[in-house]
Amino acid sequence: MRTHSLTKMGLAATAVAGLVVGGATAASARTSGGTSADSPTADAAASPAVSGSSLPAIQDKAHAAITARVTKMQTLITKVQAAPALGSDGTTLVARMNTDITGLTALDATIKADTTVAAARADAKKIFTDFRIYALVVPSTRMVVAADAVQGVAATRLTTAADRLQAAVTKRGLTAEQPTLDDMKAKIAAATAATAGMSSHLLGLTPAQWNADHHLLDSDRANLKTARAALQDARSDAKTVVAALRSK
Amino acid sequence: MPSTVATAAGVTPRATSGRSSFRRRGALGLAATAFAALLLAGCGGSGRAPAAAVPAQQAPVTVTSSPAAPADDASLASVDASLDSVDQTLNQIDANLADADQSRATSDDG
Repeated sequence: MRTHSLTKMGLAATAVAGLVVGGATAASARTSGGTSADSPTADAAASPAVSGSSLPAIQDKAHAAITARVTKMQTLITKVQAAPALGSDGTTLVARMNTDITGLTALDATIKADTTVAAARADAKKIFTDFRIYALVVPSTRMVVAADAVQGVAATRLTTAADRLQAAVTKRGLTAEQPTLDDMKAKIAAATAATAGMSSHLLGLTPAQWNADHHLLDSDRANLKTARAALQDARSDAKTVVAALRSK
Repeated sequence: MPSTVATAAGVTPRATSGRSSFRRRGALGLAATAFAALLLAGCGGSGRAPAAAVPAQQAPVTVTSSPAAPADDASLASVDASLDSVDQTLNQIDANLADADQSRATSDDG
């Protein structure tokens, strides 16, 4: 049921992306010397300032900015659907991005229908202020995937490894390895604690919150780094204990 | 009954009949065959020395703390597989963080 639902969302998103990309091709034909919609340069050119004195220029640049964002989310949806251990978070992420794709596509149509430079500029600004795809949606999606990988994959597997190593150390009475094994367990706990509740927090963030605080993601990012380092340490501890068990 | 009798000084061994001697040799042959069969059964075709040749006090003892114990090897191999999987997950976490940073840097305007 869930797979079917995701497939339907994926197809819908693909169709939307196809429409937008198709529109981008037409827009490029109208605009000489246009830059790639995927490049940061093109994106910078489509900043809220949405430079350009003519209405068609503003509309074309807005369209390119929307196309780049839709394409980015399309790629990300595929990666999210392939990521392990996401569960319901994956469904939420895909739904959120599909909603953004739909919203951006509608905004693109609105901008194309604008008849004044002022209206087109005001609507083009919404690409950024109302969506924050690059600043918030993409990074927070990536961070949810990472946080769930910490909790649902790495910490789980390391805990299983620690249990097996503990059984072997106890069985053979290798008390000298116990402190290393205890450190491994502590590092797993630290990684789990650093990412506790992170995914639900990230999934709840809105463009309005980012508009008010551009450092909205900083603490979660730092906690992910902490968790990653702790997992690395736990893995090193495990390797040390394994080597000791094999040599004695 | 033995075919020959231990002699003491000055005692002449009694003669035994040929038929009786034949029966005793037959019985000994059967006993030797049975013993050989028992030895072969003890080997179990493993090519090892017959278990019956080892005194009970020196029978092999399983050393559970041996580093080469198969159960431990299997458990450690499983741990190795888990750690390899963790390596892959750490790489995925790195890739996700890198893409998040790149996206944030792509446009100051979001």
